[in-house]
Amino acid sequence: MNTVERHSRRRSTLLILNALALIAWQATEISLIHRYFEEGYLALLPPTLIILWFITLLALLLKPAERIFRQQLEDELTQHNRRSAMIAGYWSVMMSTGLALVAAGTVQVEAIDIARANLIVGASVPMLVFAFLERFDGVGQ
Amino acid sequence: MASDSEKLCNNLKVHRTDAGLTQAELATSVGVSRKTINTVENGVFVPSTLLALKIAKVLGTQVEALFYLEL
Repeated sequence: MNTVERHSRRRSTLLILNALALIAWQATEISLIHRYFEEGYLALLPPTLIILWFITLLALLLKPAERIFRQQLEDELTQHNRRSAMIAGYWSVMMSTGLALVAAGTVQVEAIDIARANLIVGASVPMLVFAFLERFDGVGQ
Repeated sequence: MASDSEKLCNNLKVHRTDAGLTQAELATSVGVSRKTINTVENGVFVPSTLLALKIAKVLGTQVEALFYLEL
């Protein structure tokens, strides 16, 4: 594994951690389960997740100093994978919005929870799909 | 535009090994990752015209010698 591949693997690991931290953090804010995280040891979980999310976000912004490595890390296969991840994100948000629409017809759902669910899906699916594509040799094969 | 029955194939591996280059060396020469060269060689990823021209230049050949359509 060369330097570029190590950076690529580091980036995909950070993306997975960032996405999982975001999912877990936002899930603790959902109205139905938020009360369980208001006191006791569990109250420490949301701020811990916010810190983890923020640290991984900052780490993702760090780029290698050498221009050639930065160029190789953002080559056309990477851009292709980013486009695929964004398309997957778009369709997952469409599906979650559709599900929310169906659910809202039968059960009472807080508008903020629907917005939060869409935020979780829309932000995390592209990150996870891109990380998966980066890790498993390009375009999913 | 290629139809569904047409497939883009390549002789990249042959030309690269003839030139005595590893995937990593060719990747560095054209400014992409080794993974990109690997996926192009395996027919998983279709490179842009610009990248195909760069690869052909580094290998001292023509794009048509590297890539061809299999009907």
